[in-house]
Amino acid sequence: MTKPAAPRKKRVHVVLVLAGALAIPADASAHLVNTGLGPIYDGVAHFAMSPEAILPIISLGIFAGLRGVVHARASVTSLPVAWVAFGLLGMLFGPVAISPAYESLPLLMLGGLAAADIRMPAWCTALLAVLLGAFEGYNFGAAYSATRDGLPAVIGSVGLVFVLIALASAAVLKAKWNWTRVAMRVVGSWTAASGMLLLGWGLR
Amino acid sequence: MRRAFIRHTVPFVTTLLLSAGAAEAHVDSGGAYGVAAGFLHPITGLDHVVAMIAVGLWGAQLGKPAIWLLPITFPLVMAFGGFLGLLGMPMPGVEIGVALSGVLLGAAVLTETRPPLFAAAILVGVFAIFHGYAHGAELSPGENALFFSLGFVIATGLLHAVGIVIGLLYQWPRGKITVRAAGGAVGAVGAFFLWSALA
Repeated sequence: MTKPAAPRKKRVHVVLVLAGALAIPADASAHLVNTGLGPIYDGVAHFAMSPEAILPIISLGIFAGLRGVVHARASVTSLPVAWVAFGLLGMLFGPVAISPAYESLPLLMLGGLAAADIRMPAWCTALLAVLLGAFEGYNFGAAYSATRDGLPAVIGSVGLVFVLIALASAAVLKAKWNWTRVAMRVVGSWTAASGMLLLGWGLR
Repeated sequence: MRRAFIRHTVPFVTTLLLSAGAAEAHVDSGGAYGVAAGFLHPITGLDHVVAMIAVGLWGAQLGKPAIWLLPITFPLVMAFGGFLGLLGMPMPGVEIGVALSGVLLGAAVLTETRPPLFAAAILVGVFAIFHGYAHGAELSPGENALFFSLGFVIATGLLHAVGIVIGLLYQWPRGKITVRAAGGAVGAVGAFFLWSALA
């Protein structure tokens, strides 16, 4: 009758050990670019941890989505191409010493355009996408100028850039109700406001 | 039974205590802290809170397109005020302007004032500059700029949303009284702060 107690004791020990192991605190390491999964995933992780690059892309997606499918297609195709091209240039020429205040300009401009829902031809949207891809892509590539594995990182990052711009613009394109379009414009307004504050901070 | 429990628990607790990392009690940095600090900044000043809610209340009371136009323009213009404050541009009478915004916006909701849309937008925009300036001038240089700005703007927008949600009651007779009473309360708080600013 006492024999079944042994496996139960074992189970209790296993549960306790597992609970103890889970409860042991460890460093979060949330911002490590080196994931250990290879340079492509490092690039993906680097971009995913860069809100200053993510927010303007979302704003561009919102603006293009609000303007229609032609604008969305223009931004989805132009942005990744410019990102890779200028990312490679960034790898070649390295970082450029510019004021950090300039980081706020894409936020301010694209957020403002999304908030105002300004009408413009599709080639203007494509040009905006190229300018954004050039600025952010160059910065991204320049960060890898000192390492030898920059190209896979740029390719990894551009995959996520493509997914992000495609998802953002598609989500806005599919918005059926007026209030969802208004909500998207509010997001643009908030992004532009953050950019304005960031600019003040940079010039302070 | 009790001894067995102690035999199991004591090593477990001891292991946990020995595995504890460094305390890091003063680590107030990073993205999460920046967002939290920015988020708390507008909602910890009552004079700001009531004015932001009043913008939402008034927008809801005025109906379309003011219900969405005022909350879209306010954060942008407020950020411009914050920009001026961050650069240290001189602006006299900021506290009076902030308090006056509570009084006038509250009074507008209480009395159901319906000016033309551009007049309402200009009034709200002027007050937004005072609010933004007051916040911008107070921001400490050590903050994470992007995350702080995001938290700050999101909190402001959500305060407008609170006002809009309360303002949606305006479509019912009793809700109308509630919204107007909320406007009166905003005006009273604004009057208190105006008194303090002038004293």
